[in-house]
Amino acid sequence: MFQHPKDRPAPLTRREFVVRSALAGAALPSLSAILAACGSGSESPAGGSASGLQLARPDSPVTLPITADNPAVADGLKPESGPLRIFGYNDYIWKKVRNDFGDKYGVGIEYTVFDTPDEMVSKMQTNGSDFDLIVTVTLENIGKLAQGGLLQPLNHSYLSNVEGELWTAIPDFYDVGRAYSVPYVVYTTGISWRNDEISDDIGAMDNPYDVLWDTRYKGQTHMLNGSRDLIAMALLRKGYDPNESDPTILDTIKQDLLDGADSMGWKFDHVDYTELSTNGWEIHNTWSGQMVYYQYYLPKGLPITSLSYIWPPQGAGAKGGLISHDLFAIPKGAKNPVLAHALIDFLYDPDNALANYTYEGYQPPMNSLDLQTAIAKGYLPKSLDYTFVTQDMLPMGVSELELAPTVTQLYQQIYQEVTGGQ
Amino acid sequence: MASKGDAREGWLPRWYWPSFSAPGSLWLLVFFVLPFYVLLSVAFGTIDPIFATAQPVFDPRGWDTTAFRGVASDLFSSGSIVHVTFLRTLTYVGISTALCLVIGYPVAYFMARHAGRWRGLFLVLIVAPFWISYMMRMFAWVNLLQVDGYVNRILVSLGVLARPEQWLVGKPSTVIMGLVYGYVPFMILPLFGTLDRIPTSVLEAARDLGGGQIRTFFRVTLPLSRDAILAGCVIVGIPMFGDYFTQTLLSGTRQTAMFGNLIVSAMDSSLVNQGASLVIVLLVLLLVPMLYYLRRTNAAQELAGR
Repeated sequence: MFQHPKDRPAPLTRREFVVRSALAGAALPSLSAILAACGSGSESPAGGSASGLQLARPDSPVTLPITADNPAVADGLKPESGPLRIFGYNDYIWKKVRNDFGDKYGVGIEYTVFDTPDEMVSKMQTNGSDFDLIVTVTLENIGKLAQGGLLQPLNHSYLSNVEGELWTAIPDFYDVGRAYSVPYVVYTTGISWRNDEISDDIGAMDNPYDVLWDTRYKGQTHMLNGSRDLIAMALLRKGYDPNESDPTILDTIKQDLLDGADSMGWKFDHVDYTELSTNGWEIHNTWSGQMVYYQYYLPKGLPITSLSYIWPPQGAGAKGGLISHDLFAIPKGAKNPVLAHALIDFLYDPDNALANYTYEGYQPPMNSLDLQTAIAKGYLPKSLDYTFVTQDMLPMGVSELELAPTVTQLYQQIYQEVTGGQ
Repeated sequence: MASKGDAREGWLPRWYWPSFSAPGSLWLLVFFVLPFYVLLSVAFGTIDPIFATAQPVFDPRGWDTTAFRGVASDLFSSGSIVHVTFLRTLTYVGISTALCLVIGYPVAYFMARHAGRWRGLFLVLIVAPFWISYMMRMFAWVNLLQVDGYVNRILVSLGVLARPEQWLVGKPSTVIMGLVYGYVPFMILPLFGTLDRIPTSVLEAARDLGGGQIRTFFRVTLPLSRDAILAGCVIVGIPMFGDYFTQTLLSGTRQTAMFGNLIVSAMDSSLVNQGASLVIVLLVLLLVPMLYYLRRTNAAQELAGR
């Protein structure tokens, strides 16, 4: 897999921001303009906005509307003849599994790649109906894609495997009733390190995030190259909400990040499985699903046990941490919507899901996949059991959620200043 | 009396010869003028209030110059990311271009004057790297420059380094090396073309008039190749200014970020107006050396015509 969840812009507007930013704010050339727009805006009640869009939060769930001109596909239809056109991250469904699906339904499969969520959103605006299935939509994008009329509602009568397998603990506050989306994979964001190079037990630290600012590891530390992940990590380090929109707090966080970038010489990327394994880098802010890849890139003679990973809520200091899941969605105007439903359901068949998991590393949130089964059946090496996400972990973490467009721009401006555009 | 050539052209319509430029003009229109207008429309356009993607404004009467003015202002604001990155890029490009010249000129001179029957082979060798994509060549350097890579092994075994160096941790020298490696063939080829065309008789005349090898070089060869040097610097320097990939692969840190990184990062986000404005600013800045080059070459042609 390449270019997994990164750069997650999730702009949903709020009344004040849209009104006040409509002209000058829309272009937003400088940080000062962004800060000005953010500074005097107040949080909209329950995420309401002038355009009818809502910012979903766990305490403010959003039921995405289904309109008469955009109904779900009817019940009981036969799958179309394809070809099924998937729009997704590179190789985000194992080719063998895709081929198995194609063989089962006698259809061809075309796979078009996007690199970033921004690119996906942009292409969905212009060419959304060219695709039958998106793999995947991140949480912060689902609301605007659905409310912007770019998705079609799902018909759950085609998703019997999903109904039986999907974790009940997976939240749906961003799409109550899963009208437009179904979870695909679940993962945490934490810190990985080479324990043969670093004697510190990062998991035992009171605040594991501090190690990313520890100048003993200058020139040895990688950060994820996405505005949301980078800023969320710095916010969590200081005990803030990773979806913080207060410009004063964000300015403080920016200074922390600039200090870190200057004093640590951070490298920004998301290919830690190659860098950490082979290039002498010792610490990386990373996603749990990536850890499975390390075993394929380790230098000869270096055991997988030389790598460690900590999700801060599970550390001794029990700090806040990111946990999230990616979503399937079907574009409005898809030519093969029944076939798209069939693939979603196919991937919720335990055998297919587990086969896909062995390749992808990111696990499906399915009842039939537990840690013991994954290890016993060889889907996951015992030494990587710490990458496994369980339903019990969901309440321990927080997700990166939709932000108002102006706040998204502020995040991206900070990111650009901190990284120099990496 | 009309010449034979004039008589032959007499029956041709006036548009005949200019029409030969039509394919090139069409190509420029479709692949440069129109895309550039779209870029202007993005730079001076707005952002979709829901999706935070670019909303180009194609009617110039509706253009909003706020983003462009912000970028232009940042360019001259000491300490701003645009200002700092621009100066850093200027420095990297200046050093890299100079190194390309220092490396490329002797190579081109050797090929033109002393390679003899091996000249064709050398030319092929100079062009050979282009058979492999730029990205793959940079990936190769990532492997070579790793802590346990061949570069460190060789330098340590030769005693140049006491212990392996970490080349990929944000070193400007590594980025500059990558730029020089990637672009030096573009310097060599125009230099070779010019040096190869300097008549031997001119050099012999210089010798006959008492000039030694060094004096002949500085008084004859170098002045005659001045335009090629300028062309090589423009050909090498301009694309270097927009390069971002070399830095991303060989460093990827804030300390070595280049102007191209700012552009790509902005274009790939809701700061797309700013990104398009950065492209325009870069284009305007690069017009300066380009116009100087055109002025120089025009002057040289006029001189030759007289």
